[in-house]
Amino acid sequence: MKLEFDRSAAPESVTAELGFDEFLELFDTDMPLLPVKTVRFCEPESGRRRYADLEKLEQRLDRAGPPVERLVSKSRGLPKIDEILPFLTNRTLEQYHLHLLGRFVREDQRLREFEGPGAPLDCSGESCDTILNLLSQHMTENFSGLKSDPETDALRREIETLDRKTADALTAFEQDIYSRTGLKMTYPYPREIMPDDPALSIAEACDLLTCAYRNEIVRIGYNPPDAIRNLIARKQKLESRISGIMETRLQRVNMELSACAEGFINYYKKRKTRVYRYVLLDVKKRNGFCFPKFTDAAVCEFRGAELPVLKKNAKHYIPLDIRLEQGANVIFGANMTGKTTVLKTLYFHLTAVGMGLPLPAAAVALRYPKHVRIHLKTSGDIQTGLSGLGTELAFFENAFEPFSYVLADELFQSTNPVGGAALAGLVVEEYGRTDALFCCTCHYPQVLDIKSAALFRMREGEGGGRRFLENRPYRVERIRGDCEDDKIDALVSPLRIALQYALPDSLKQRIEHYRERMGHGKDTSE
Amino acid sequence: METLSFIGSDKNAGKTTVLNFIYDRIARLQDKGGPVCVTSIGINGEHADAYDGKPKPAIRIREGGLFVTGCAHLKQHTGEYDIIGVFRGRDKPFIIGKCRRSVEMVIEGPNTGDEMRRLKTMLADLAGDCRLLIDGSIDRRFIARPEISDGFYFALLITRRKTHIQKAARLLAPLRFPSASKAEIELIGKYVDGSDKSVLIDREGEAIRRSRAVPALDSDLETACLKHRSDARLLYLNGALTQKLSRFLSPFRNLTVVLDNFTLHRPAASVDAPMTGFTPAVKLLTPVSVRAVFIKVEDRADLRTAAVPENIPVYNLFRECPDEIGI
Repeated sequence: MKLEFDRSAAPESVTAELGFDEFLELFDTDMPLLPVKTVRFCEPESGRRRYADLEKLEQRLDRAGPPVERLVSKSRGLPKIDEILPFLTNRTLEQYHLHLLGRFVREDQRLREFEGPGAPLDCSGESCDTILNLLSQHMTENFSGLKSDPETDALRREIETLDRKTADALTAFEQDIYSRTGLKMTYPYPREIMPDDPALSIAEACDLLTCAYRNEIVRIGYNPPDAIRNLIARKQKLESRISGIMETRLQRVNMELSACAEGFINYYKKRKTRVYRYVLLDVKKRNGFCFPKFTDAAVCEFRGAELPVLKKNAKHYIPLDIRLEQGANVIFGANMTGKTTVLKTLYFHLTAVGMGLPLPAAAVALRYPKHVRIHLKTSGDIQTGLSGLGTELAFFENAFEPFSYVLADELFQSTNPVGGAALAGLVVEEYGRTDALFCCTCHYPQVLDIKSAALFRMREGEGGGRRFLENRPYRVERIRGDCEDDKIDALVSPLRIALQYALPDSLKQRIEHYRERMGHGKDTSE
Repeated sequence: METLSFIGSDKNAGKTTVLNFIYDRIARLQDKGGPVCVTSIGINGEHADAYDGKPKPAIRIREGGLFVTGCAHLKQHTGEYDIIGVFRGRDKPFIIGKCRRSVEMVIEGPNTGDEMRRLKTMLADLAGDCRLLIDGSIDRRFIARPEISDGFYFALLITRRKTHIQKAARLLAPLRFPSASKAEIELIGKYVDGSDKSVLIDREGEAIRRSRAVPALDSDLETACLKHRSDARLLYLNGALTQKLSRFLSPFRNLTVVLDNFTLHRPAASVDAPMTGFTPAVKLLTPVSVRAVFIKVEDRADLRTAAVPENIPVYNLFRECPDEIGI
């Protein structure tokens, strides 16, 4: 099974950067029944039900069912038969369709036996049993062909006899030709001779042969006697009769199967869903993933949330712990402290929730995301003719739907600091009045004064030097907006980061002096 | 699993007639060589040509004979065959069946090398030591890979028309190419992986340039050949040696061109532009084993135009006594 991502659900540039394709590769499974499965963003009701069904199945299997990895293995025997379902409904199944149908119902019976009472499908397998019985009556072992009956057996024997008679008659006929003309008339026909060949006059005189001139060559064909023609015609007639009998039989099988077509098609869909769930549960178990818990309140809490592509590339990966509240959430912090990475990790997980997938996290609790939108920094878009600011404003045109998650990076840094700070403050205040869950990163200190926003700051990594750059995403901690120390600390953190770089000594000294003036020198912060 | 492939120089060259003839011969020895399975690259065995509507000989599968074909071609054969397996191709499934009685059938098989390899593996599992006959096409280069075909039967159409003469000559020309030496094979093996289309190797045995681009469209290959014209010794090609490329390589007298297989020899696009003065030596990495060449001669065409190498038997099924054809 190859899991594919509904590309309309998220911007391609973002999904590519966040390694969605690599994440989906974790679900690659040899599963003939489901060669490809496209995951789509679900509405809240069906999305929540999807996870509830998965959890219910997981619990049942844990309690009394076989191990999920064995169920995945057993499901591999099921062939994909989607293409034959319309033929089943239309009563036009051919012999090879019956073969595939037979293989499916037999393998399904084995799988049901293996699943036992611990994990029954919420759909009766009666239609499968009926089909299995019917096909066993009409088909040979392994459903390889239609069974013979006395009538067709008798016709086949008659054809065999005719075949022998025809072969003998043809041999005698060829020998007759040979004795009269010296020409050996065996496959392939017609034989060719040149017009100046002495055999031509003999052939032309022989009533057993036909001669035709074409392109300066004479083609000599058969002119078999009526006895041979009759034998061949008789054989063709018998063959037609067998074909007719088989067609009638096929029609009968189709009629009998059509009675359970509707039930079977329903069952087949459920079986595919069940096999897909086995794969999801198997991947969850193998990778230690989790399913999200859904809340009615507009909160979003992640513990140990990973961004797989980042974990793969980082030396010391720190999973994300964060709890966001309804309204506006502002992550404050200097450049390179991992604010954007936090937003991207959130976006990855929220999208995966919408797709109904197990999450690479220790625990996730949230209100189901009806919409997930993200705006990342941009310098504008030549295609749409929008500037950086225009693109950002256009993003907010559609980002106020109810029950949505809206993520914005470096809020209104796309314009001058005065106007940007004002716009950022207003947008944060506006989200504070909605039931959406808004999370942005921001540099403007003004937003720290907004009482309705939940404020966070990035804690920098430990160990000094540049090592903190390897620890991603960095830890996020909640701060109080009314604490002046937090504000000042957040404001001077770029200075602290700058000191980790090999800047000229004179510049470093100036930075140190500035920090000391702000009360954040060596003695107070390190 | 011994696999024999059939290639025709042109339409109406008698390829299906040759396949039927060889199939019949092999099937008679069935008890010695196991069952025979027939498949095709693409569709073959239709009653009429899809292009010109002319009648074509059908492929007749014998009672007990195996076949691989597309589902659509089995509609009219209900009850006449047993299914022993279903091969999932890239675009569609193919049925591996066994005939209950002799049947004329349209045969359709996989169109890619990867599918054909997988089909052969599946056939070996299902039918054991069977022989496989492939109604092939020179346009599908994978047919020349040693893991696909063990031997070939060629069907040549010989007429007085230049295009037919040209096509027959093009098919036969690589049969005269010597095989690459052991040292050359080792050298190529050192640098080439499955996806390389060309490798240029110098006198010291070092690869100057490797490329996955189609050689005929690879202008950088020409640049590299010119730049290293004094020290380039061997050019391995796994793409067609076209007329354009042949023309370019013509003066490189110290170069040995090693073609991956015989299907890559495509030196002339038309009879009006014959390839002359080609000085590099040309060799084949994969030797071609042609079991026999069958000719179909129209009008009073001169058989010598076919110029079949002397060590390969040549037969005219339509004129010679089939009993005397020693296959």
